[in-house]
Amino acid sequence: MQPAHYYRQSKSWSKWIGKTGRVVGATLIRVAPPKFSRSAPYPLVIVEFSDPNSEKTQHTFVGVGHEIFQIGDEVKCVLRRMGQVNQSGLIPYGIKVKKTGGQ
Amino acid sequence: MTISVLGKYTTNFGELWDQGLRGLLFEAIDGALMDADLQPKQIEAVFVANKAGGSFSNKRHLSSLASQHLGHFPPATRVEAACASGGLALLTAEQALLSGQFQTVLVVGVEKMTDAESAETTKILASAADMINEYGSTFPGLYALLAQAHMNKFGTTREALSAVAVKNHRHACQNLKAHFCREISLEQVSHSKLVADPLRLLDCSPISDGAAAVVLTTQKVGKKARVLAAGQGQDSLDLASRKSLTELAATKRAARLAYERSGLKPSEMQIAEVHDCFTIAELLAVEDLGFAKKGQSGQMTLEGKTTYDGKIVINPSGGLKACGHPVGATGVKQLVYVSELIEKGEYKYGLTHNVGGSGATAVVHIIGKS
Repeated sequence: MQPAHYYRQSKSWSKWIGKTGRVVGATLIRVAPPKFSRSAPYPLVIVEFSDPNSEKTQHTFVGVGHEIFQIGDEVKCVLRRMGQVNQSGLIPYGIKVKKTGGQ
Repeated sequence: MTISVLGKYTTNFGELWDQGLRGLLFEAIDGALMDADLQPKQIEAVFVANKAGGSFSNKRHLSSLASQHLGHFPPATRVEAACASGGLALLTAEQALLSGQFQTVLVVGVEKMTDAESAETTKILASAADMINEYGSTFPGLYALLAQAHMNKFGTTREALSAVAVKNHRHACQNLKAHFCREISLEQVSHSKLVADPLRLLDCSPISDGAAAVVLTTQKVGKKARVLAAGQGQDSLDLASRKSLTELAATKRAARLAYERSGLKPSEMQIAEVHDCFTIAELLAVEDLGFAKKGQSGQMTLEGKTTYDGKIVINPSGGLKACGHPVGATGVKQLVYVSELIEKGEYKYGLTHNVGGSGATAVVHIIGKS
């Protein structure tokens, strides 16, 4: 990710951090792109969010950890490292989802 | 106005060490011209389909390269829609013909992918997904989510997915240009290494080099296959915004338009080259194109209904899985393959189906006899 793109994308973090939702689709990525090779295997999930005032929405996120999530898992959005340090020296962070233990 | 496939050609598909992007592009152009028995200067415009020449080979502006190769510098356009680049370039060329501004045009799809290492290739291919909303995803990962949804909703089995790969490998043995001419077994597919659960290595189409080209004309020509109709459909770039994960709405939209415009029904199609970038993609296509009821494509495949002596032959070329998937070339190669079979008189109506991304763009063509 280029630094300028990273800066723009970081403005959206506050919208997500702490939001909770439910997993509706999950896989485990074992063959990863170069910047994520040290994170492999890592979960990729589709999370359904229910805002009290609006309709349900869905969003895809990388999951925390190395194990596959299950459909129905309750998750929370957290800020985490997203892959390795890139050529420009940037340590990329971004939103991932973590299991909260609910079901 | 009738659009005929005057000339057609594909290069070999595979790991072609001795050929670079230019070589493949030029070979396909020359091959299609020779097949059409035309001089280069008779081509009034050229359309180039290519997804990632800029990333794989640091080569862009391919349109001008194709134009220069023809010698008389006809107007040239590059079309990109990820893996649907080929189908979309054909559609763009057809619209140019239907406008009346041109009578004879050339469409060439090309991709050179095997010079990069597989991790880099994964990254380049992933750029066809939503890079902001699907950051960290890979294509196998996105299609794995589609596979999970289909298996959960309809009980589609691991065996059904494997059967797609087995069938396409068997078909490819009759295709001299195919990347793989090697039969595989259900066990081999089901036990191959996991790439993104539940998809395994042999569920995934390979990384291939290759090019394909056609000459399309509205001039009267005899005994050539005709493009009867085409349709294009779109849907969200990211999977999470889709209304349903058990179908590709873009395919359904494109197919509906193609059937309407041709006046034909799914049951009249005898062969179809569909976009099996992953085995699940073929199962989705068979349903979305109207060849099977929702949820039934797995069973249909297991019962041998999507091969010879079945209901319809799906992917006679071996599909993306076994014929190979040089991204920009695939949509054009599908037209080449179906046109050839129709010209030989083996079938009356055929269909091609080309998808971009995880189902954001779809192009469907219906081909018939002259």
